[in-house]
Amino acid sequence: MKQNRLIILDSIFSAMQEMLSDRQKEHLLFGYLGVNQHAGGRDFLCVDGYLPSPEEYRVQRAGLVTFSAQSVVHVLKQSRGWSGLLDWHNHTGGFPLFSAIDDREAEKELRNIRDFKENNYLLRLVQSHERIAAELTDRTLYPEWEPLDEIRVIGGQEIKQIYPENSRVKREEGKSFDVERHLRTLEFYPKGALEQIASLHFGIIGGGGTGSAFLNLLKFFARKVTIVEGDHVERHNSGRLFHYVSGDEGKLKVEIHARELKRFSPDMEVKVVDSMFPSDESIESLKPCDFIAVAPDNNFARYKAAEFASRYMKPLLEFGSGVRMRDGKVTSIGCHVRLQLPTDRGKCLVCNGLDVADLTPSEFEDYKRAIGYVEGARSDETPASVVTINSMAATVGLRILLDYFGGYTGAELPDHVLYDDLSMKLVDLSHAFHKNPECTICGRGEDSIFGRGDFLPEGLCVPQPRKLTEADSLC
Amino acid sequence: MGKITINKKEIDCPKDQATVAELKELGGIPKRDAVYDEEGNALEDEDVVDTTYPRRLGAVEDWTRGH
Repeated sequence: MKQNRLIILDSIFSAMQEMLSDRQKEHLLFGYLGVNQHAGGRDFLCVDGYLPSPEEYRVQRAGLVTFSAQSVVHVLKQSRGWSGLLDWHNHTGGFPLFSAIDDREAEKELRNIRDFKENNYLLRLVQSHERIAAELTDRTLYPEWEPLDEIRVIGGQEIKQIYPENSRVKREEGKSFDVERHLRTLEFYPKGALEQIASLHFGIIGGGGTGSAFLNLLKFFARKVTIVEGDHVERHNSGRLFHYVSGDEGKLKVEIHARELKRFSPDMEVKVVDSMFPSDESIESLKPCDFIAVAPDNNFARYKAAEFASRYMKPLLEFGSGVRMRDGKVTSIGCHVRLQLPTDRGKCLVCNGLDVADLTPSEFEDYKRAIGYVEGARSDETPASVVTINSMAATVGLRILLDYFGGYTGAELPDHVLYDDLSMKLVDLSHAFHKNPECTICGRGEDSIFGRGDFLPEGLCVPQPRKLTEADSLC
Repeated sequence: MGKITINKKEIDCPKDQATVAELKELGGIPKRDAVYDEEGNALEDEDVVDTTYPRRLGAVEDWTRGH
């Protein structure tokens, strides 16, 4: 069954809830929606809302709220660059049901939306205390309405999942997990967090050294993964590629990962995509995922993953590792993990120090080699790598993921951790980089792709990388 | 005589310039409704509209929720 979900920033959701919990009078609030239409259904993405002031209502009391026509124009204008409008009102008592007045008004609202724009979704919610009913329509569906099955609130420390009264999804669906397997973990880690992780769909970009190390750990917790990797296994991979067994040379890396994950847990859902990110096929396969991990061997894929995750409001874990040598001596060796959260304070990889000086797509590198512009195989330039630092990156990454969902450390969640293997020290770089409010990937300006989903407004392009400044290189 | 369109309905206007309030009256649009221009900007009742070239305006009513 295809599902409809609302993915909303915690800051907007909390501000709305403060108003909608009013037991004296009704409120009518709005949000502007991007849409992600994928194989599993539709995700409506909300990173911007409009909470009217009392002066914008002509009437506001228990049982009735009227929003002035002048302010309606403002809301419609603001919604122009988006794919849908969120309309959320409260009842001061009783059940959360749409009334005859609400139905009549929805028809008018849809007409107004159509006059403003060719087509737009209308997502309406009604709330009575904690209980919510929600449904959606557009020009092609109306007069039919489809239920909204889940509201997913993305915060800096957790993801909250709320199921409206009319949802087609049962609250506990897909959340069961092997309690016996986790008996020792459950002594300190919240059961609800393990259930939540087990219910999520993870997308893994890159199934090489670090990607395979992460998969090897994630398999203990996740039950549904999509792996994107276009490479085949070569003999030189076997010294650091988890899930390799003798004779795998020549096979697709995704194939051996799927085989070993299914061997570990036969009921695990594993989907594989035999192509390099960001191919169209890989993008389509990752669009239904809830959480993305990217462990590629080039910054172009990192940059595109940052862009993808921000545009579709997906938490992203990013890994990198490497060894630098001079005159036959190791000068630096280590790895890093960065967390990109689709929240107000969350930094994209570029704001968090991603080196964007060389973002050549891997296909272009292959093309240059094919025409003789560059000599040697691409693997000749692949950075030196070793299983120890790959495993360290995977461990730190999983630790961040577990802490995000379970909050078991009680400490502030880091979003950039570096492991220096020479000194064997972990360094928290979370405060070394600052979010650029004007960032076109994670900023909240009109030219940002954050939360836009499938459709970018006219004139808004996918951003080009910003060049690093001297300040960036200090860290 | 000028012509303008509000919500796809054509309205004849005897003057080259008319206020939004006058256009509402000509088009039978309730006073409390809001009129907006091609860019989606809300117009005030006293705003003057040039009707000598084709204009496509829109009007919306209040939005009400209740039970």
